[in-house]
Amino acid sequence: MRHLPRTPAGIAGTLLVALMVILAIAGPLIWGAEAERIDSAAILQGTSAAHPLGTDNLGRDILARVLVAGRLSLALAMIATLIGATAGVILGALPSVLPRRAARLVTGTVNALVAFPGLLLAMFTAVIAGLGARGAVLGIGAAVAPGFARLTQTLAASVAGADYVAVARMLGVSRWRVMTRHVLPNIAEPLILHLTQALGGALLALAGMSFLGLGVQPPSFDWGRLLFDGFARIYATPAVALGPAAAIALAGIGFNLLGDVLARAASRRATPAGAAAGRAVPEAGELGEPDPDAVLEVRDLTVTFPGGVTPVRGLSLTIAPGEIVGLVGESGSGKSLTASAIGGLVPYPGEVSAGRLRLCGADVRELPEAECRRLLGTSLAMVFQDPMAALNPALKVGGQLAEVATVHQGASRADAFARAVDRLEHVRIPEPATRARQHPHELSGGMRQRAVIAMGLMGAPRLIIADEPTTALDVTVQREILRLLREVTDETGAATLFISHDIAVIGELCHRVVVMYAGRVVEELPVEELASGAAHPYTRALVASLPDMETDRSLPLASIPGRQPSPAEVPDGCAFADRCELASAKCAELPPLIPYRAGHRVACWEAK
Amino acid sequence: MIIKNLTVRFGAFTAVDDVTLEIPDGAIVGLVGESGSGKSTLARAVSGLVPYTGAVEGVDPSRVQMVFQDPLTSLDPRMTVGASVAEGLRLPRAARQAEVERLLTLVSLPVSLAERYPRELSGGQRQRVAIARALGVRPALLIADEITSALDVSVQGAVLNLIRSLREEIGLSMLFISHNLAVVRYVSDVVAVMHRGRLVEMGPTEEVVGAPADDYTRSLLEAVPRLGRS
Ligand SMILES: Nc1ncnc2c1ncn2[C@@H]1O[C@H](COP(=O)(O)OP(=O)(O)OP(=O)(O)O)[C@@H](O)[C@H]1O
Ligand code: SF4
Ligand SMILES: [Mg+2]
Repeated sequence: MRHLPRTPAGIAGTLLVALMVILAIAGPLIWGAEAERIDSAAILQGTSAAHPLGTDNLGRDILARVLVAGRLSLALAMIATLIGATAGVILGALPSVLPRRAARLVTGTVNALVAFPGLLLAMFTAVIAGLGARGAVLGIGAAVAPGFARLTQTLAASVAGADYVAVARMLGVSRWRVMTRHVLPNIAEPLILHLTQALGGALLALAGMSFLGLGVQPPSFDWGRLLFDGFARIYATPAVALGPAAAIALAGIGFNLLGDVLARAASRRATPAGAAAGRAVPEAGELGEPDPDAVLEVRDLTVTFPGGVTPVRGLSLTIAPGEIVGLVGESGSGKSLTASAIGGLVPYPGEVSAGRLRLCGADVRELPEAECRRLLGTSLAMVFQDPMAALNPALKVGGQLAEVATVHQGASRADAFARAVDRLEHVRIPEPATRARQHPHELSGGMRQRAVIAMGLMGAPRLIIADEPTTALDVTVQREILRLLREVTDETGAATLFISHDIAVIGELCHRVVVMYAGRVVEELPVEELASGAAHPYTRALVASLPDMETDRSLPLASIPGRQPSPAEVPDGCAFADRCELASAKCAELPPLIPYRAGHRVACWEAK
Repeated sequence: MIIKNLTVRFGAFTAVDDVTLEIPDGAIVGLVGESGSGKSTLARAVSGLVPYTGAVEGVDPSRVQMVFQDPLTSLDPRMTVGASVAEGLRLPRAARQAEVERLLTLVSLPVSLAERYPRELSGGQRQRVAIARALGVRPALLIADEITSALDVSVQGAVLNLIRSLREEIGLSMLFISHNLAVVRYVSDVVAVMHRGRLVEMGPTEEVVGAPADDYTRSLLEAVPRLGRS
């Protein structure tokens, strides 16, 4: 919510709402007297220079009245929304606090009310509460409340499932305290967003009530009342009705736009921009000739976010056909962002720059967009930790796989489906034809991950990027997926970039290991040297702190004190320095990644 | 304490099927099995978070505490570390501060961390806060459900060392759940293996790991990834 996006809708909404607030404060002070001045000489006039919107049956200037009526209209809408919101939040929160029976009763009532048309509910309440502003406000409040109640219930239910609520319950914290202390503060943001939107709605609804004669009664007047008065004359002098109508419309639009924009800003975290366009930085001269055999060649890859956040810092990586390279490092070291940058998937507002970013012999940033998409679509297969994120839950598995072939390879639907079944069989999903006709949720976790791999195999992948593909799976399934990945690499000759924070898995699967720390590569070594030949203190500590089936149980495990610097505060020198036992004054300068032995490079001043 | 014939059903599905498991005083019992085998459901039943049939004997249910996999979701993001740890303490206000400090020291965290928010801590530090909070109610049994799975190897060691020192220093009984056999082997005195809701094997750690009797246990041992085995 802190940074509003500067979209036209956002700006328009903010401006309109600001204007309305100013009008509500200043309007009656400036035009108050004029709006009340009765002029028997100027009754029921149309547009004129003195009265741009005409006058009413007592000769009062309608423009002034419209400008003055803003305060009452907004104030009533605000009160109505607050009443509705308070009642709604209480109703919505009650089921979490009440005993089960009573809770069910409240939930049932709310469900019934939500299904009831809002305007009817408002009019019904207004008629009972009595004609006039008070009745209308209560009526609108009653109409707004069920929506809030439902929203509170849904949000509270999702937070109530959180572990920290379970913990609080186990600690014996009372239900009421859990609600006020843990649940409500954590759902406040969406509720406030809903409030802004509800305010726009209440404004329109109140105007509607006044227009129907159920709301504000003379001598008070709000926009709805002015509209009601002017409506009878709309054919003779349309201006008298247009003024209040325009005011209502502008205010309603303003609040709705602002609400939408706020909501989008709050949920912006995951909007992929698709085109966090890459820029070539250093001249090609310093980079040397591109490697003609490499499937993937990345030089000086950097990913930055606004605010000096640089999670990937000058990373270079080359992968040959048939090679499985493991990318290991702790959480937040930039592994996933490296993968995203290669696939052109860095989310907005991230910026990618690289000296070179070549896939299958072509620099992806120099290709025309359509060709780039085709290259990525057919040559690159991505497998993520959560297979559900890669599969559309609403579509059948076979159809999703087939889509790859119809879109990128122009296959007919029947051919594409047949190939999908063939690929599912290839990754050893039992009864592939049946499974192809099922939805993702009908498959087990391991099967879903196989289906995602099969999706990558619909084309002829040259590079497979697998980001923690087995982290959500248990060991036995993990082993099968690893075996499958290795077979696929062997038979297609594709290159694989395998990302994991689990150094044991990397050690088992990969040919070569690349170790990342705070956005940089600190060591690159053949897998055979991982267990006892690592040269960087961080890699060595990682290996030492890993318990295996032979670890001596009588000794404490090794661990690294401290934590990795966040991507905004990575020091200029060696990022590992404040956790490193060997650190010296020299380490304030950045150690370059230099050859150590054959096929082994390390970035550490102490590695000799 | 002992868990006797514990069964949990969700509709027609039996998540935990007639499990009997003894947790000797002051011992760490490791529970392994694949995801969906019912480990977490068993833990939640013993903690009183899901209804079950059968019995949990020899322990007051209010003195069972649980620590979860992801410390970020098990700590309220809007409460300071100190407030989170103090929340479960049944002590007069004046004594709380001192107790919070004692608990943080017990899990090897600097006392100054009490002022910070969970997002300002590393994963390992957060997990130690969660453990400190659970220790605050002086539990008779601590259930640790995959507490190192979301941690980096570089900090996992510190949490595992803490678990073992807690057993030695305050004689804490523990049910330690993990899918990682190497981790379970390192901390546990006794290992129990669960498969499809049932307990298929149980015995002293070295025996189960060294000479598994059950086929499923053998396949689990087979699947443990080993550095540079290729
Ligand atoms: N959209 C974003 N805006 C700002 N910072 C981001 C964004 N995405 C990622 N980061 C930051 O970049 C850093 C690297 O993130 P990345 O996801 O690449 O880590 P990782 O190595 O894959 O970690 P993990 O093992 O937890 O998956 C993190 O500190 C993260 O907070
Ligand atoms: S460069 Fe210095 S601080 Fe960095 S790892 Fe090497 S010895 Fe440690
Ligand atoms: Mg990642």
